[in-house]
Amino acid sequence: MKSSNNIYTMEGVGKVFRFTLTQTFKNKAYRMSLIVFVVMMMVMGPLQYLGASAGMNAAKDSNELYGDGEGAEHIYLKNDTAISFGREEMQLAETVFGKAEIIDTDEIPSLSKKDIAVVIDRQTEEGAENYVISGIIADESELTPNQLDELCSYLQDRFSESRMNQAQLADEQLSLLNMDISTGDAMTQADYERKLESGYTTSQVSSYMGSFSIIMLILIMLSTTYVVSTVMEEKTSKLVENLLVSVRPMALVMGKILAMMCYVFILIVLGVVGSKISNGIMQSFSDGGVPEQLGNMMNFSAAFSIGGIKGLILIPCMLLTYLIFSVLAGLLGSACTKPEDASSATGTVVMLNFASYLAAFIVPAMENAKLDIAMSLIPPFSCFMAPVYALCGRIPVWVFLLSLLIQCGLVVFLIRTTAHVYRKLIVHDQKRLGLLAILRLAGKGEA
Amino acid sequence: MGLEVKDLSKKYSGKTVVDHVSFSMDKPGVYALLGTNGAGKTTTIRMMLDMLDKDSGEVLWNGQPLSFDNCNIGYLAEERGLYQKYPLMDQIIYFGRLRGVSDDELKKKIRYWSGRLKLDEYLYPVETKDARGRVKKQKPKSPDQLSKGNQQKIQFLIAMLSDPELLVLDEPFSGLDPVNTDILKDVVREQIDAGKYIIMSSHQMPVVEEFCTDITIMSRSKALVQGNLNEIKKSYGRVNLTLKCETDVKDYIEKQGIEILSSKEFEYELRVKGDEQANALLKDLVNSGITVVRFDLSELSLHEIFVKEVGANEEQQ
Repeated sequence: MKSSNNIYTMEGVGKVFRFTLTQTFKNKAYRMSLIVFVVMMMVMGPLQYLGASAGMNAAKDSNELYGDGEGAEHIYLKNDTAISFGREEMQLAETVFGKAEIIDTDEIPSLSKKDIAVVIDRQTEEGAENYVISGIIADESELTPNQLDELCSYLQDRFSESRMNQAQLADEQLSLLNMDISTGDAMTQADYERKLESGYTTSQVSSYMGSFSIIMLILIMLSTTYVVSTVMEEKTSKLVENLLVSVRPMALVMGKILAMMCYVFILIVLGVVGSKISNGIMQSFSDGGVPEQLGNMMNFSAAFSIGGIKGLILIPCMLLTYLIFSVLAGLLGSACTKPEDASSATGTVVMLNFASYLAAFIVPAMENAKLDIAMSLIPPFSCFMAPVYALCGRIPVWVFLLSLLIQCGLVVFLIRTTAHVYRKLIVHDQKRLGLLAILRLAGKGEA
Repeated sequence: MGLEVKDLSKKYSGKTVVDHVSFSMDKPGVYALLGTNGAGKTTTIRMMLDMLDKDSGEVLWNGQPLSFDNCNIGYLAEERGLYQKYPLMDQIIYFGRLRGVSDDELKKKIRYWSGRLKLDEYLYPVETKDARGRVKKQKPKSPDQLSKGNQQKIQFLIAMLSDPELLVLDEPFSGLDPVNTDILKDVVREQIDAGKYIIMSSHQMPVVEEFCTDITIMSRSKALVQGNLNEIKKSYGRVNLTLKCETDVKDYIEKQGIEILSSKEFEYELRVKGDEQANALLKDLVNSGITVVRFDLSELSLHEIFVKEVGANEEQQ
């Protein structure tokens, strides 16, 4: 005979939520965790910023084309091409060779220790004709081969610009000619048509997926331990029986889970806001020598730039994913009776979280339409992948809607199972049950 | 109407822990659930309060399935505990709110029960004076600084917050010192006078005997003895005789064939077969000119009934 009362009601959930959240913020350990996390987030950006600045300065110092080093006294230029290339086109003013006298010559003279000769001519290699820029220094030169290489490389770019400019092309034609060319991914015709239809390249999808997944990974990682320990709190404190004459198991467990979700969410939001503020302050004091993206550390908003308003759809999907994993943590926590059980319960959720995160990284690059649909439907992978896939047009809308339906169904199933298991195991004080044992218990209805 | 417990059964892994137990309370008072450790008392209580699924049976309150939706229940569980990390007052307010007590009412109730159970110093800031005579407020103690007895009193306070009509007390006096036992006894008496239904499970027979009108003695998952306590006692007859004389009367006792349970100087604890045997002894003593200082013929105590019945049942098993 089943319970005479309905254990699946949420009456009182608000009271449990308020009490748990209030006590969490009153608790010294939780307050300390929050402060440490926010400080860490605030410090991480500026530290990376400083590290990157130092790295860039070091790179600049090691580049012998710039800086305070001594350049050459004379640069002999032997230009055997029809393209005009002289002092103006060479643009050496900003380099260590800025003070060097540039001498056009048809014959390279005997070079002194501080002289360089640059020869530009046309050569034929393997049947194809091309321009070659060669640098020459004296045997006993004070200039290093590295300086010479850097100068030749620099002049190669300037010569190319000069060549384009002298072709008397319009800006548009110039930009067309200067455009980089790279090879794309090999794909089937169906994949190609899909890409045409969605308008997102694989690397864009992977980038959005990566950004979305890392938010979920951090959120879930942080909340799991808190949820497990808070759900088992009444059992370890031996007051669960006193509570259950006032509130149903579902309301009790959900109130506690939602409170912990809220605490971790506040923690993340404060961390991100703190990070933004500290990075802003850091940037305002910088000399502008660091690329802007380095001053924008911990910027998790990339996923939401998928396409204007479309990106906002990710927020409810993110909350749904967060809820699924938190309730799963609650379910595992409801089978714990001793504090030492918490770590193994947490481990299961962390493992599933990592598996979903890895799948979200690997699967988009595989460009397999069937796999994309399958992974968008199978939880917990679908939680990480379906929203981004849907917004990038990699899966049809009906698959996304079906995926959301499955996820919502999963939430309801997990919440009911958690309440059921929590009640079943009120008096259970033996070994912690694993996930499979919990599901068997939920199915059989016997502790 | 009142409370009806019908045919409750529960098995764990094939082992019966409660076997078709039924009882009822049709008027306010105290109903005692007695039994040895593991007899099934706490499981019965948990099934009554719907914390455990029943394999069979039902529990009705005024004809409806018992739940905290239709009955204001106060419960002191056998397993005592409090949130160790949270302030006591916050916990009490939380429990009160969960029971639907308004905040204004809560303040009054907590103040009343705190005073009644002598818990003020643990719940409210205490004002002390330092060496310079300045008044300082000391924070109340945290739960982990309280003795077990005081934690138990806090739980009892929580159970009383909603002014429950049905009070379920599982081993309410265990772990309490004599002073706190008396405080709690007074409160229970008040609740009886106020017309509350009280279910009490205990091992302390004299305490139960003091309050309860009806009992169920459980042994090995079954209800062994049930009914009104006075009637149960009456059914065993008046068989305990305490006799005190000024001389040795052992020969007179043996002549009547009466069993001597214990003796100290001229005072005897005797087990008689009934009123007639006791009266015959008294008559013999008086006719012989022996001064009888004390002659007290009484029923079996609850403790004796319990030991007799449970012992016999365990021997049979």
